Amino acid sequence: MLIGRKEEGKGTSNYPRLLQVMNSRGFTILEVFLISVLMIWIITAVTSVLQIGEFSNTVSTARIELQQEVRRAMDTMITDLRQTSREKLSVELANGSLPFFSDLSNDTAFTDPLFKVCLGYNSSAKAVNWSSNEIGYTFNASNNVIVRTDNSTSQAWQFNNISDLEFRKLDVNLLGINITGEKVARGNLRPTFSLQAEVRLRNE
Amino acid sequence: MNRQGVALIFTLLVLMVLAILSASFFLKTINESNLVKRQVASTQAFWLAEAGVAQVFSNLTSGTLSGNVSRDTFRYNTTTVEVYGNTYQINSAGTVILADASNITRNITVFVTTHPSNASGFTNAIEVNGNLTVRGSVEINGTNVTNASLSFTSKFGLEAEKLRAYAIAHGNNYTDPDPNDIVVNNEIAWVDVTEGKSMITRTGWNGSGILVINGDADITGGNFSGILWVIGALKMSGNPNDFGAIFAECDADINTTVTGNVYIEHNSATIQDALNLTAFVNKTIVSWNEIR
Repeated sequence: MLIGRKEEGKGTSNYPRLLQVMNSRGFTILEVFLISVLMIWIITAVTSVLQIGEFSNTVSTARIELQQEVRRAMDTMITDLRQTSREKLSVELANGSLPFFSDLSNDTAFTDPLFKVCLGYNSSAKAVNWSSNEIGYTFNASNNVIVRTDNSTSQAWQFNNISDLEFRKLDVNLLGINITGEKVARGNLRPTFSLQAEVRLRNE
Repeated sequence: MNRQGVALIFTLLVLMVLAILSASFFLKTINESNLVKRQVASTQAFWLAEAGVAQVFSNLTSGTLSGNVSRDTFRYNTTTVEVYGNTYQINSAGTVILADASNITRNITVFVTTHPSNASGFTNAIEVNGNLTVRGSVEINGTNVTNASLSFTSKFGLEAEKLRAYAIAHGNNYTDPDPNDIVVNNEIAWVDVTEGKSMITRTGWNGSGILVINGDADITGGNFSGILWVIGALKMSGNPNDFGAIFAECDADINTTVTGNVYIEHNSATIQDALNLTAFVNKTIVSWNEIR
């Protein structure tokens, strides 16, 4: 049985079978079936490849965005903290007290640093010019964000997808920062990224 | 109906979709790559600026200084100004030139104060830890102190090692030099002398500043203005002239001998000139901030 109209005079036994098919005006059910199977197989394969590619792309995009966010938070904190001094940096301990960094013993963990930054030096007065405003970093675990506040402005910067933030005194003028980020890529797939840094407080 | 072109159209459509996907992925990759490159360059620029500060700090002087680290595209440019007495402002810019010729620059401003040693501990012509033996036609204008307990750190207000490091950094350090080989003109010089040998100056030698001899010294001639500090046994003979102050930080049982036509004069002006040299040894970064 043929689908469509067979071209007259070209379906003779002298032609090879392939040429007969090429020259026919329709397809047999077998041909349609084979083509359908082939097409389904090709489409399934292509779709699978595309799905894997899209999944891989989604995960890697989430991972890259997470890394960028964590790095941005770390860079901002490092740049700010470098410019303070141990006497101008107050912190919060687990017991709720708010000592200065200089009062901490080494290897003490703390949160919520609040500090002034150096703006220059008054040569005649022989004193450092400190900012009148204070910069603070707070980690909000319920929203997974680090919030940078500067009390000279009502604006606050926010760093998203942060799952943990830890500060630790390492030495007299040395401070350790540990940030962990986590971002939902798809479903339960949540890539994580951790970054550690040591910051030397440049001012005495 | 002629269907022979369907395969071509279908193929072209598939190729177009793949091309769009590839282009999209490529652009995204390039964009992320550029972001990373700029972030890396920013970090490099910061440390280049710090390198500029460190370079100026090690050899503090007013003026400009430029250099690069490891390659031409990693540059620092510094400007140093003495803004007040003994206070210097260093502006340092670190720059990384990217492949597309764009620049990433970070700027740091640092204030440094210098602290010359106090002259109050330099009131005697000669101070020695043991006994002082003076013979012949020696003339000492000024007081002498024997059986002292000399401490370099308490006299100068800084550690001897810092002075040594400064002398080394400026190429003014010697080990077992030949007689009269030391060149010290209003500078800080450090001489290491091996045990069993002695540092010798003879007639015709001239020097000024601070001369520290880490070992025994045998001075038989020459002129020196400033502070001579010997960490060992000191012998002076012949006809040397010394204007300033002499210290022999030796063991308590060692005699310092001064014989012949030695002339020693306590001189406040040359002592102060010498002590002013320590300002660049005893320096402190008093403020540091990044300009954004």
